[in-house]
Amino acid sequence: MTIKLESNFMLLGDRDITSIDSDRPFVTVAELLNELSGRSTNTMQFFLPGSESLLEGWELEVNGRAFADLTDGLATVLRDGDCVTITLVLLGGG
Amino acid sequence: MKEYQVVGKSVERKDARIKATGSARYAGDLIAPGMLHGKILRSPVAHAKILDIDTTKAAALPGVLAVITGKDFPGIPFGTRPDIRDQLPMPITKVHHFGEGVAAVAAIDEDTAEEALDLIKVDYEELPVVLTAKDALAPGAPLVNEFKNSNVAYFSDFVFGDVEKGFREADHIREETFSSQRTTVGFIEPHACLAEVDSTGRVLLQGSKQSPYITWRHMCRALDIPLSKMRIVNPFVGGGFSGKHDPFDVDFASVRLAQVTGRPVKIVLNYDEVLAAYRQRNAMDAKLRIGIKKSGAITALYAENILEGGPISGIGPFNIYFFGAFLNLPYKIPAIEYHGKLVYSNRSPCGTVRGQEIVLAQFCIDSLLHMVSEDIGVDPVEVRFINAIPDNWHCANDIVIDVSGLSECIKRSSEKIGWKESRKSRPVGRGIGFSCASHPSGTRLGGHFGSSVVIKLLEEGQVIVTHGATEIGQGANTVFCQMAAEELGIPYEDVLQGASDSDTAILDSGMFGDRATYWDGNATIAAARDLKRQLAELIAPALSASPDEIEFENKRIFVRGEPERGMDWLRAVRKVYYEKGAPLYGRGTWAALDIDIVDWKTGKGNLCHGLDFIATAVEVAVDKETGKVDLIKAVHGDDAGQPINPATLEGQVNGGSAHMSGHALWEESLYDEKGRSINHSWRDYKQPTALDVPEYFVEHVHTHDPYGPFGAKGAGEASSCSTMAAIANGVYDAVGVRIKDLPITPEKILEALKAKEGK
Repeated sequence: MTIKLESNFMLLGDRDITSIDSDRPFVTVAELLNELSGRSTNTMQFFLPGSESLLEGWELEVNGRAFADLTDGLATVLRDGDCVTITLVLLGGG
Repeated sequence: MKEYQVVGKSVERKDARIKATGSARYAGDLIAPGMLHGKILRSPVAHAKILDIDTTKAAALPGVLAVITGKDFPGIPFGTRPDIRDQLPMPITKVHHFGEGVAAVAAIDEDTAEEALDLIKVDYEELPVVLTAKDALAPGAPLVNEFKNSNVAYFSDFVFGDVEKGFREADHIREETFSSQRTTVGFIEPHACLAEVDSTGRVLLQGSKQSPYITWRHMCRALDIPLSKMRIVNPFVGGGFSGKHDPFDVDFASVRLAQVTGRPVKIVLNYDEVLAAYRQRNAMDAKLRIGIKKSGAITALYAENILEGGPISGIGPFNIYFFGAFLNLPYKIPAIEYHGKLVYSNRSPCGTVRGQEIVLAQFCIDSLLHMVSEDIGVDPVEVRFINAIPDNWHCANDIVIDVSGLSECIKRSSEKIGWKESRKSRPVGRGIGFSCASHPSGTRLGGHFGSSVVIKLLEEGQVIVTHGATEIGQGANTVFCQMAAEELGIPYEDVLQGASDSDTAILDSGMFGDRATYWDGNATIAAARDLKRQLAELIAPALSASPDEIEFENKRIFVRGEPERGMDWLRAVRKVYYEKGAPLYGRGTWAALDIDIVDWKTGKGNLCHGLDFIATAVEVAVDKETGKVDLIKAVHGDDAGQPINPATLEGQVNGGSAHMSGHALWEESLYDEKGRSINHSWRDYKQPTALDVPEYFVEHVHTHDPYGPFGAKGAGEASSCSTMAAIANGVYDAVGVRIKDLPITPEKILEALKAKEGK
């Protein structure tokens, strides 16, 4: 199974990836995000353990649908060919 | 150009009298019943483990009500980017820079608080320090930030266009290195805040904050409280220049001490603390290579830089991004390759300073452009004309320029400074330097990025404008009131400025990037139009007209084309209040949804509207005996669209230039070999005064931005971007030596002269 990834930043910190493979037939959004966090060279946390919400600073879409519109939120099931878009939101200025 | 009643006039600033008479209340002036005074204990070392902090004696001192350390916070890191959250309110396991706050005290008066600091015992285990980018990148270098297992905090690699082709097509290629020093930000008012906690645990923070929204969000995260549990009210703010966006230990400490004691706590820093331990501009090392045709047209640019940013990433990734993305402006460059890196160090944390890192990029580009123009025998000002971006230009990284008055800016400033005449003859030791620049009017960062304004109609006919931006001295309040007056057709004097309070105003994303006039200005117009719409709906029946026929002008509401068929503004207001029972608010929002969210990976995208273009010419005099540089005259040809308040606009343009004159010639934050600041007082750290700056002239190039409020663009930062190269080029023009490592000190000039003369 391959999940396509789109983002406006380097998803793994020092490098980018545009897809992620799994032997499993499906993964949840939470599992995908945990995989990315674990592999990133940055200290990246998308949600708090046990929480159903994304932490502030992240925007996410699954196949063009905003996270807020996903009925199952972080438990949303992702299947082969799905596209997850993760956008980083800067809180700061210069 | 359209003639307006209020817009375009140099009306008195709304805050002029209250500030000039000393009546304005800043954070340090605030008092609350039962208020305590806070002080911060600072690390005397630049890099060390914190083995133990013993606060027992301090806490036992009569008059001390609380002592806190980093362990009194939840330990949740925060940061400007969600993938690089590497800051804590106060350090827990290690100190990262000289002067970092390690403990804080709340006491009944300042003297007691100071005495308590002396009683706090901190055991440090000193660690090797990382001071420069070279130190940070050396194999085996000590790691600076405990949240990252590398001293590279961030990097960017951008490619726009076909760079190989661009350099192949060049007739001449030149490569040079440049460097820039650490500088302080330069606001007059030091950090200060008053924090109170009510009986429900809700925090009220009143502080000297440039972007209270940023402060609010970061603080709530790090304090682990919901946004609804904090209210931020901004008093007058004495300058920001991008040094007051983030929350600092002073803000966190005052809140935590207020929570612990149950009493208001005020902390006011002295300026030595600010110079030693708070935001500075990154040091920079850069290498640029430019390709140019014999005609003077640029064919390609290669740039790499390293920014040394202190122990946090902060806004650093955006500095790296901006440096690279804005290499595409203000000149037509078909191909650009950029590699930028931000590294950690054990010097003071960096944010950015007015102009962001476009300031540093432009110093490099315009110095290099002057050099290659001489190489190919084309007049340096002519080279700017040849490469100046025009209207409707599409940059290599997809930034779209709607309106550019740059060519006219170059023409006006070169004529006013007497460029052509100076090429024929000029006094010995006198030179003129030239540089151009461009700065956006805000970018789209994602998340909450819109602006919101509310206009409250008072029953005596005045209105109160409440916006989410922050007046930090730049004149934002004034221009919004001018815009509201113009749109409503009422006198400027009848428009009042509301309070900056997160409970009643929707705070916008921040006072940065020249966004306020543009974004909040458009929101002001939208709010005024909403108010007019509501008034029109209520008044039109009395005039036997439909609402869309109603006009507002000269304090009158009337049917279009029939001014006698109308009523006075005040009568209309009283009608809605007293007859209709409808006290009104006008509400407006604005966000540029058609521009692209920042793409951190590629640097591509249409990042902004409202590009302010500027051409700066500076005449200098250099004394060859002493190396001293005097700034004689500076002319800025500036395209800020429609000036809303010409006097304020000139203040911004000249102020930005004066500010960076210091960076160019004098300022440097100095550290010893152990990372301790050695010039953190105004005695030793020199910033320009009125005696040091040149005679300024601003040549307004009046264009009309299609997206800007009344056609205006932002204008606070372009002149910061153009000034340093203009000065460097002026010194070269005067005495024939090129200084590429800032600041351009007399010692460097004398050394370069000696080298040139073979001594």
